[in-house]
Amino acid sequence: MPDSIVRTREVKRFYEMGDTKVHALRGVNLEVYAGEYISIMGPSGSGKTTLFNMIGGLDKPSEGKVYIDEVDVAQLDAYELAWLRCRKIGYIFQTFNIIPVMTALENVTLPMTFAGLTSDEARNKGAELLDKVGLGDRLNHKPFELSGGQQQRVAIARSMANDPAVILADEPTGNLDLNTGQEIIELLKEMNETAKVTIITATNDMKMLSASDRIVWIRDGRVDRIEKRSDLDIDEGKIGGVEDL
Amino acid sequence: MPREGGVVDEQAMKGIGRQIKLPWSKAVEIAAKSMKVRMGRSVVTTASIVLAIAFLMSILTGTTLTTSLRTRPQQEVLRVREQLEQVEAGAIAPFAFPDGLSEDQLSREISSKRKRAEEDETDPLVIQRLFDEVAVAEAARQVLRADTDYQRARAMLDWQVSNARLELTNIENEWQRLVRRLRLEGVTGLSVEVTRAPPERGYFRMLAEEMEPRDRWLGVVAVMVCFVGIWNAMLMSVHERIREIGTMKCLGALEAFIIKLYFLESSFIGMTGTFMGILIGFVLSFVRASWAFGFGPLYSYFDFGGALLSAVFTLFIGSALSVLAAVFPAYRAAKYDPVVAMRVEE
Repeated sequence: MPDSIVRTREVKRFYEMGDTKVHALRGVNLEVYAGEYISIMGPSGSGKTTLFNMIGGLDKPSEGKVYIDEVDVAQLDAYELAWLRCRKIGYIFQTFNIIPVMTALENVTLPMTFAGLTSDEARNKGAELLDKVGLGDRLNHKPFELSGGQQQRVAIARSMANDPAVILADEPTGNLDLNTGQEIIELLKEMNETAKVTIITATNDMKMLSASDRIVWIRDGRVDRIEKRSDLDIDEGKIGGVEDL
Repeated sequence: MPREGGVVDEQAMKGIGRQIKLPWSKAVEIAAKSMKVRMGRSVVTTASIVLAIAFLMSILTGTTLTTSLRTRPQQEVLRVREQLEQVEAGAIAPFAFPDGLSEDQLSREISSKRKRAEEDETDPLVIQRLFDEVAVAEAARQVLRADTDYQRARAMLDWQVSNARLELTNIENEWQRLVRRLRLEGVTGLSVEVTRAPPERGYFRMLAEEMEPRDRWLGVVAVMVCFVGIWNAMLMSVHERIREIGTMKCLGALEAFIIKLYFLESSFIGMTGTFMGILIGFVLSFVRASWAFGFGPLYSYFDFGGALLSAVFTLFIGSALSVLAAVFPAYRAAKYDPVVAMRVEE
């Protein structure tokens, strides 16, 4: 059995709203293995995003445990949490969240700076990563000079900055058109295969299904079912054009 | 399978590091960049600080200048009077007698000045000064005419006395003119007759005693405007960057780093605004004072120490304010939960 990179045990999350308790998660057990490409699917309000934030160490469970690389996230102090976010996890967002005042290269090198790399090291590595995502000729472009798809590519390069174990992509194709979204999915899949990075996406995009090794369906704060891609009845040629592996 | 807690802790020990603190230079770089990009807003913020600080500075400098104009000439009058007494008593060393003066030259000067004083001038102050100048010239002519050493020494003494009287006349006349102008500017309690000099005081005591209640109030208002201005600007800056802050935290930024960023930004804006405000405030109040009192007396009685202390005091207030006003917004920025920050619509 491969190593688990993310593991949740009976994770519950509820919010107090006045006198009522709103349950976002009602006890989720999930194990993600190293090198997997996993998609979390579910309608809005299902707790998908909450679970996603738990896995990313952005939110803490009300009950239960979240382990990232076998470390209980709840036990970490601010410095360790920042270290985790910096080195172990790469984040990709629906709204790209490229820092507008910085160039593409500066965006990619920022996490490296946080990790303590020298400017030269960061610059070389950043250029290499941007080249890998197909933006080798746009190192010094500002975000507003880039299209949505290009911005998301910068975000992918940025998430890879410190060679993370996991990339968390929250609706990475949500703000992109069909073709661009498809390109981004292919790029993520490529990263997953070449850099052996685990990819976890929260998505509503059915195009993602063909790229995923497993799909976790969330409903009403619980894992509804987990499907393997091999079990899915999808004609991949029609949906994404991703080659079967 | 879930593992035992002990195993987890052991792995945690070897797996997780602690995020390093970044050097200030990085924070400076990023803060400078974000200010450059948001130049328009930074300039507006800086301008409001410049205005407030210039206002404060001009109040302080104005008080200092007016005070030096009403105290220093009186002190000068008393000093020259004392000097005159000493010269008349023959008790102080002689001035250097100007070389190369000829009797003819002095005679011409005497007759022309006497004629001017008797026929042309109407202002009694000018007439008096002209007669004093005639007296100096006559005394100087006596020195040239003196035959023996004894006569020459006596004549030198007369010349010195005339000189000191001339100086006293000049300075008393200037004081009278200043009194008129100071009264026009609303300064009360002044007398043309100088009987005793106002005391030499420390800067802050001078401010406390000389500043008008209205100015004091305006100064406080200026400081508050400055404070609220920076605070508001920093809050705005935090608000429009909530997502950016959230992103930075996701990328591994420590809270301390975010605080550093905002501190640097507000300190830089505060410092720039303060320096420019001090300069502008000083120039404005100096120009205004020289228009009211004349550049000559302002220059000769300029209180350099007072002006410097005004600048230092204003600099202190400006910097303290910009740091204080940044505390809350910076703290708020750093404490933003990345999850909340990411949900903000821009």
